[in-house]
Amino acid sequence: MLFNSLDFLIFFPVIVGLYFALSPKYRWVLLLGASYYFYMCWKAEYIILIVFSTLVDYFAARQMVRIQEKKKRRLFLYLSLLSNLGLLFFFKYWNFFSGETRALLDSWNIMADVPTFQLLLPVGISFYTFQTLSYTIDVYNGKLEPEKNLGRFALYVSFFPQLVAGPIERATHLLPQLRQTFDFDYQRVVSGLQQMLWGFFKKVVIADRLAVYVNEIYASPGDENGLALLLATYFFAFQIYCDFSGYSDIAIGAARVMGYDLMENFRTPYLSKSIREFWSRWHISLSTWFRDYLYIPLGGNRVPQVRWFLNLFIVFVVSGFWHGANWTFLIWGALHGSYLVAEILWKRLPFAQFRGMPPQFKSILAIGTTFHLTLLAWVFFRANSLEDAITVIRSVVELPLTMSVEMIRETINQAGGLTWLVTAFTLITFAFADPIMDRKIKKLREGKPIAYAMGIFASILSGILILGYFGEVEFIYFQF
Amino acid sequence: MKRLIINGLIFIAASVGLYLSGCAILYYIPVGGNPMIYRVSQGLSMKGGDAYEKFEEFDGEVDPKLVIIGSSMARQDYDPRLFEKGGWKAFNLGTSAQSMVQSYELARHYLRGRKGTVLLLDLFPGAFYSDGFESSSDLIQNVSSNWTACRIAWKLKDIRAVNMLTLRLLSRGSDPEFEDKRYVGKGFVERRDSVEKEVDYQLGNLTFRPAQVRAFQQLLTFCQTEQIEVVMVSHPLPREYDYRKIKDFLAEVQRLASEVQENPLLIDHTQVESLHSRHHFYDHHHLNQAGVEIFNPKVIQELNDQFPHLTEYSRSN
Repeated sequence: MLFNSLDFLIFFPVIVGLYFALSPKYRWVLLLGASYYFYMCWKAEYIILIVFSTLVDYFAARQMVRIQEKKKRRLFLYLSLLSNLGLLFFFKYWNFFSGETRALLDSWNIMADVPTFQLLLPVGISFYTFQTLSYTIDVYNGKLEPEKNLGRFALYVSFFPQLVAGPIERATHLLPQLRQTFDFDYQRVVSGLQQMLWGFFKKVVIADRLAVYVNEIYASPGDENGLALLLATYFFAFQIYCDFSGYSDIAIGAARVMGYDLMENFRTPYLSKSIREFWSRWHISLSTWFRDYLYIPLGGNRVPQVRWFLNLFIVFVVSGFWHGANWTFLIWGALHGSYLVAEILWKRLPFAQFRGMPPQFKSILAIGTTFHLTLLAWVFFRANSLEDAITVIRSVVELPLTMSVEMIRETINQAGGLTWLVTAFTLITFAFADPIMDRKIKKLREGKPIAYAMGIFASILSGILILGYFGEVEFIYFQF
Repeated sequence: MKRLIINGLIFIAASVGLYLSGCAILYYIPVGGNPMIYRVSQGLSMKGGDAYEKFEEFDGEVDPKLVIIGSSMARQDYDPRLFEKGGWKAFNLGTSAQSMVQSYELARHYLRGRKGTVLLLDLFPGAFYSDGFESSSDLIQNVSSNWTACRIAWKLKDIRAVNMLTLRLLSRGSDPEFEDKRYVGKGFVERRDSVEKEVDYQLGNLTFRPAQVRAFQQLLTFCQTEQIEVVMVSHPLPREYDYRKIKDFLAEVQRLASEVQENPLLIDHTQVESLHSRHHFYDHHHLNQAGVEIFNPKVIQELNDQFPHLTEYSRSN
C-alpha cells in the first residue's frame, strides 16, 4: 500500500480510530495485524520473509542472553547476520553478481552456467533487515535486553509507518515505546497530521511533478542537449529530497498520531556547508546505522590515517551498494567516500580557511560547493547505466561550447511552464519552507498552538489537491 | 477528541474555501488563451468538442430508435446518417476511451424510459481493462447531467475527480472552450484522412477489471429492466492484428453477458475482408469515412434481420 493512495487515506484513519478505541493491552495486536496487512497489499507471499527474519532474530537474541560462553553467543549473532544478509543478498544482489561473474568468465573464454532468478525485489527488504540486524547486534553487545514478547518484537520489525522506507529505527529507541501506552493527545495528533500533510505536499506536488521531466530526460540522455541534462539533474536533486523526506515526514507524522516518536531522517541537507555535515543531515537513520555498525567496528578514526580514510571509503561504497545492485550506486558511494577524504585533507591546507572573506560569502560558497558535489554524485545515482552517467557529465561539461539561444528555447519548451512553477515551489521548500514547517510543528508539539497554522495547512491541503501529481507514483526509496 | 472534531471541521471548511478560491483564481487567469488551471492541474479536459455537442444535442433528441455507445471506435465507426438511410433513426453517444462504468452511467441517464430502443454497444477491450481516468475527465466536463457527472466522478475513485467536478462547477454557464470541426451532428465525428505513418498493431494483455465487468453486467441488466434491446458489435480491425486475441476477448464478453442475459446478441465484425488497413482506416484501429461506408451497411443489414419489427416502426416514423 502506498502512502499516496486512496487506500491509505481509508486505512490510516480506521487504524487510528481502532487504536484509540482499543484497550492499550491489545493495541500491539492491532498494529501488528495492520502492519502485515499494509505490507501484504503489495505482494502477500513476501510477508514470509519478514516473518522469517523476525523469528530468526527473536530466537537468536533470546539464546544470546541465555548462553554465557562468548563463542556460542557469537554463533547466534552469525546466524542472525547470515539469515538477514543472506536474504538481502539473494533477492537484491544475486543476479548482479551472477551477471558480473558470467561477464568475467566470458572475457576469459570460460564457459560456465551461472544461474539467474526472475525475482521481484521485496519492498523494504533493505530497511527491515537493517532494522532487525541492529537489534541482534545491540543484544549481542549487551546494550539491550531481548524482547520477551514475540508479537511486540514482530511489530518492531514491521511497524507500518516506517516498514518499507524507514527511518531505520533502533530497537533501543522504538521497542521501549511499543511497550508504553499512549492516551489520545490532541497536540500530538494535530502535529502528526500536519507533518503528514507537509510530507504529502513534498511528494505529490514537488517530487512527482519534477519526476515527469527528470524521467523523460534521463530515459535517453544521448538524445538530449546539455542544458536539459543539467536542468534534469538539478530537478532530480530536489525530486529525491522531496520524495524521500516527504516519505519520512508521512512516516514520522503517522507514528506520532498514535503516540510514537520516530527518529528524524532529514535536516535541510542542501544547506550543509560540507560533505560531512551533509551526511549528518541526509538519511540520518541510515548514516548513523553505518556509523554504529560498520564504521566504528572497522576502527573509525582511532586508527592510522590511511586506515581511517580507507574506513570512510569502505563505509560509503557499502552504503552505495546498499541502495542498489548496480555499478552506478557503487560509484555514487565511492564519490561520497572520496569527497570526505578530500575534504579532510583540504581543510588542513592553510589557504582553505579563506581568511578575510566575509562570513556570509564563505557560507554561500561552502553551501554552493557542497550542493554541487552532491549534484555530481546524483548523476550516477539517477542514471540507468554508467554509460548514461558519463554521457550526462560529458554533455554538461561541453555545455559552454554547445550552448545556443535555440538550445535554451528548446529546453524551456520541453520543461513546460508548469515545471518552472514547480521549480519555484521546490526552491521555496528547500530554502525556507522546510525549516519553517519544522519549527511550527515542533512549537505545536510543545503545546504552543499558532493561530495561523490552520490557515497554512489548509493552504497546503488545497495546494495538494490543485497542484498534486496523482496516479500513485511509488516513492524512490521503495526500490531499495 | 471533541476539540479535534471541532477544529477538524473548521480546518475542512477553511480548506474547502481556500481550494475553491484557488481553483477560481486559476480558472479566471488566462495563459496562452486558456485558463491557467489546465496548465497547473493534472488531467483536466476542456469544456467543448464533440462530447459537449452530442450530449447537448441528445437532450433535445426525439425518440432515436438506435443509440450507439462505447469508446472512440463507437464515436467514429458508426455514422447515424447512414443508419438513417438504412431505416434506423440513430444517435451516437460514443466518447473517447469510454469505459464500461461510464457506458453504464450514460445509459442510466440517457436511456431511462426509452422502452423499445436498441442499444448498440461497441466492444473495445480497453473499455474492460482501463481505469477510465482519461475519459472521466472528458465526460465529467461535458455530460449534460450534473448527477451523471457526479456518479462518474465518484466511480473513478481518484482524488483528481474532485478537481474535475470543481472545474465543471466553475465553467457552468460559460461557452465551450473549443469545437471539433469534424463533428457532423447526431454524435458522429467524421474522419476522411488515411493512415500515412507507420503504426503499431500490437495488442496488450487483455485483462478484465472487475469494476468494468460489473458495470457491463449492470448495463445489460438495466437494459433488460427498461426493455431495451442490446446488440454488442465488435468493430473492424486491420488484418495486421492478432485476431485470436480478439476472438478470445469476445468469447469472454459473451460468457459474461450470458451470466445476466439469455442469448446475448454479439455480432463479430472484427474481420471485414473488404477493408484495407491503410485506405479504410485513419490510424491503427479507427475507420475513416470510406471504411465507415463499407462497414455500416453490414451492421444495418444485421439489425434489419434481427429486429424487423423495429425497422418497420422506425421507417413509418
